[in-house]
Amino acid sequence: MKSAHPRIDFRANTRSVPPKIAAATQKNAQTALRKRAEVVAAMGEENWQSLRAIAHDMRMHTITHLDRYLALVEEKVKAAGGIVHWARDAEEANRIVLEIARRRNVKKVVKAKSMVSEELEINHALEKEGIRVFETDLGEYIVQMAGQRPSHVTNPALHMTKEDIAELFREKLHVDVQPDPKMLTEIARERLRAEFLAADMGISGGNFLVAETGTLVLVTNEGNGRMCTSLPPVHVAIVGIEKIVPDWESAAVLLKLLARSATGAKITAYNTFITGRWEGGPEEFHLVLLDNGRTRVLADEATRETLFCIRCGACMNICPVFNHVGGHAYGATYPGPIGAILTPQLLGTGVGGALPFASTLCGACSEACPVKIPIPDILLHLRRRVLEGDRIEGPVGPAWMRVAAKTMRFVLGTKTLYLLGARLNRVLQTPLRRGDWIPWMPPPLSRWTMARPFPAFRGDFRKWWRNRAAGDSSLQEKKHER
Amino acid sequence: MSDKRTDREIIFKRVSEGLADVAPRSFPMPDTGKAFFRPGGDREKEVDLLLAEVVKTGGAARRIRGRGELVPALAELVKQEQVKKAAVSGCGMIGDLQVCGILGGLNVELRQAEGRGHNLSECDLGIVVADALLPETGTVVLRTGREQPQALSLLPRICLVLAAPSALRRDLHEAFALAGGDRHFVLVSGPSRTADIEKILTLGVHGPKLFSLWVCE
Amino acid sequence: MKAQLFVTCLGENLLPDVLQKMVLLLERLGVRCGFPENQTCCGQPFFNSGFQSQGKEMALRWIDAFADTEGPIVAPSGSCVEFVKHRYPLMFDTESAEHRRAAAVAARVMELSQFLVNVLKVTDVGAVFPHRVTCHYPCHLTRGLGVRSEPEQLLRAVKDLQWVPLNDADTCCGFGGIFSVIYPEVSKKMMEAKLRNVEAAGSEVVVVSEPGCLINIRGGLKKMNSKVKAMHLIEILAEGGKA
Repeated sequence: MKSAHPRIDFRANTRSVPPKIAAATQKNAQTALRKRAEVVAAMGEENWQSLRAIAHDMRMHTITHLDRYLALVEEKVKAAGGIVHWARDAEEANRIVLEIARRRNVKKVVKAKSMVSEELEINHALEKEGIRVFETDLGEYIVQMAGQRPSHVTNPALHMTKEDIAELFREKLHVDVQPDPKMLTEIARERLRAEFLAADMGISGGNFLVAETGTLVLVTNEGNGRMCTSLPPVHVAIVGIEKIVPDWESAAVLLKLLARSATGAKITAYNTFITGRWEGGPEEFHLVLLDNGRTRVLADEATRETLFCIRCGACMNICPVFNHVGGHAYGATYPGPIGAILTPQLLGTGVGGALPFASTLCGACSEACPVKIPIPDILLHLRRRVLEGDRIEGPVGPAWMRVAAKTMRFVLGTKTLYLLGARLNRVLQTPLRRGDWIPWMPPPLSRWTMARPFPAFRGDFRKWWRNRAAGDSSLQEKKHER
Repeated sequence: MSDKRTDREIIFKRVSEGLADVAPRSFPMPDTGKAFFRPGGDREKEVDLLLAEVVKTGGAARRIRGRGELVPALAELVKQEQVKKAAVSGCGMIGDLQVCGILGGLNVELRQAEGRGHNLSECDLGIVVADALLPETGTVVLRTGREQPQALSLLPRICLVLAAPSALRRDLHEAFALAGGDRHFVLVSGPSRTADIEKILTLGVHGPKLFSLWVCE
Repeated sequence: MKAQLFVTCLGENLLPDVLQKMVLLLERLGVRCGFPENQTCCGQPFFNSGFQSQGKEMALRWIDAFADTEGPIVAPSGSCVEFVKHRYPLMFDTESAEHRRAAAVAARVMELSQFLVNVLKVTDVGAVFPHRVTCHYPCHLTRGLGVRSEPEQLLRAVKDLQWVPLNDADTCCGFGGIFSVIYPEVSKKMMEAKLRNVEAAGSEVVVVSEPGCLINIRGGLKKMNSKVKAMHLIEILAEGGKA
């Protein structure tokens, strides 16, 4: 499993989260969740659950017949005058895009928001070749200018205040602007409009690919998706192979779920449907179908459902862990609960092994997920992969951990040793005990006591039970009589 | 060229190997038809709903009953928004309503609805005709073609959509049944918007700032 | 009616008074309790940590302890019950004898409030508790087992109890088993958020019907010298008189 990505140290990341990040994350989440609850209630809980179930089963069918649908997409896109490329990994995808750019003498690229392009770090690859890349989604435009990574799948700049952004614009764009969202947006509109009209190539991702007709679906609010994919003479769409839906009805099901789950809107401002080359559109349409680890997710039955994700962000909005640490703590493209299961699979457990543990398994995410991904089940499965290893990857944790677990299990699983251990705890706690509490325990258990005291060990129950049984011998006799 | 073929082969191989555990005929497609439970309704009510939903998205919406209402409505729009240049769709309804004549009478410079770039960007107003209307979400369906280029509803800062009540459709899948075979079409639901800055809703990011839907009866 | 006590490792070692009260309560309601002495731990801590093979070994032993007993198996914990109920059968090949035994005990196991309301068909257990009470909704009990209304039904039937709603009642308290020691800073923040809501509710008592959550919240309240007391549901239902 080759990866140049450094190991993600989730704990270290969580210890350096600025307080305003948690506050901004929570504010974003609360708004989204409140609105989501409203639109779900308006649709009717039963209808909503029915949609989720249909979406899940549709995705399961598609993923388990993915080869069929990939072939269909290719056939249809080609028939519509598009060019289809296949990329086994990020390196190949970037190479393909660079080749197109060189051939077309591209100097400027405008980019619509695409999580996949973050995965590829394609901006970096293009800029190395002297090609200027303009992120055009407002949030992405802002984080690009700030030299940061996005912190949320649908709201990339949620970690920045309007004051931060005004300061950023002052510094980078040399404009004197108030921290007013309207004015800041107006500046971005004007600057980027010029870039849209001058760009040589537009790069987009894709929310879905409708296999029936080979149609790329883009779900946006700002209009930049439409601009990137219509104004420049070349359009390159990079889409993960899991984004396929079989037909138009399936696309409609997901579109009913997506905006509602993401922000609580019934629908986004623009839904664009592009099939190959079209009247008045770009001269060239390229579709890059990307693997980059997705087939490894596919190969394990227990993790396959990870690929259902439609990138709505509902799971992270509802996740209490995410709400306290923000997106950057997850150390890779995809944050939150989906990130906790996707990153260790795309980048390997050597890199992402800390992430399946970044959860209390509370289950709120799987309830919120519009396509019913069983995130807690997959987290558990990946924890096993990290510590014990499985068919896909060997264990990451050191051997002594497995030995320690086996020993602990032996002790806890053998009644006499279990009870002996319990009695030992009651004895050993004596110097540390203060009444009903143990305010401090030595490391690593100090990790508990640094937040709150541990209750004192008490072993009265079995003794109490036995005494009762003995004391109630009269009761026993009555039983026999009956 | 052979590089790409190799990647294609690799990916297909990985996919089929990865799915080796899937038994044949397992995981059939569910009945997606069950997802479209929204009943259609009385035309008047559907139009009412449509207009209300468009307003919720931050757009404006009204009925236009005949030329008697169209002329003053356009005049008001031109005046209020200081429209100097406009481009209009070549679709039938525009001609039937004599929109170009009205605009000419209001001293609005009419541009050709063509080109991918500066021409339409310089227009204040773009007028298009809806191919379908989805009341539940306040959505208009705009099919792209020579008569009605995509950029017409994107580049000018005001997007005015004219629609006939006969364009009403029950739900999303009907819109797709209509336009799914096209090379390009767009569902538009209100003006361009974002909440990327502190979750504060701002209208008019890259696309039109103003969106108006007039249902012409 | 006979029921088997599934005391749980946390319950036995840290909350024995809660277990005693559970026995007294059940007996008061006409249930004869059995206590299979070979039980130790159901294996959830191992399994959930990622040591599934060790969790499976624990499961085999737990099943042995309970398999030859009769009647419902009742625990004061939603998470332990959920683990046995949902995970045990999945551990074994569906054709195997172990799977049959696992499925058999899984079918019998239930959390206490489930047992009272759905099996004994009782909501008023004759308790008296004249205090302002709010209720935390433990994750595995609600989302895992689908037990959402039973604790509230039981509490509302307690004489003189004043029910106070809790903001974000079903948001995780931050315990999460090993999570509390692997990511202690985040666990602490989640606990503090829960405690803020508890304090804001203005109750005298917060009911926490899950041993893990209970030691977390009770410890947190102690640390901040709160006047609010954390109690297991059983403590209110059984004693019915003292806070």
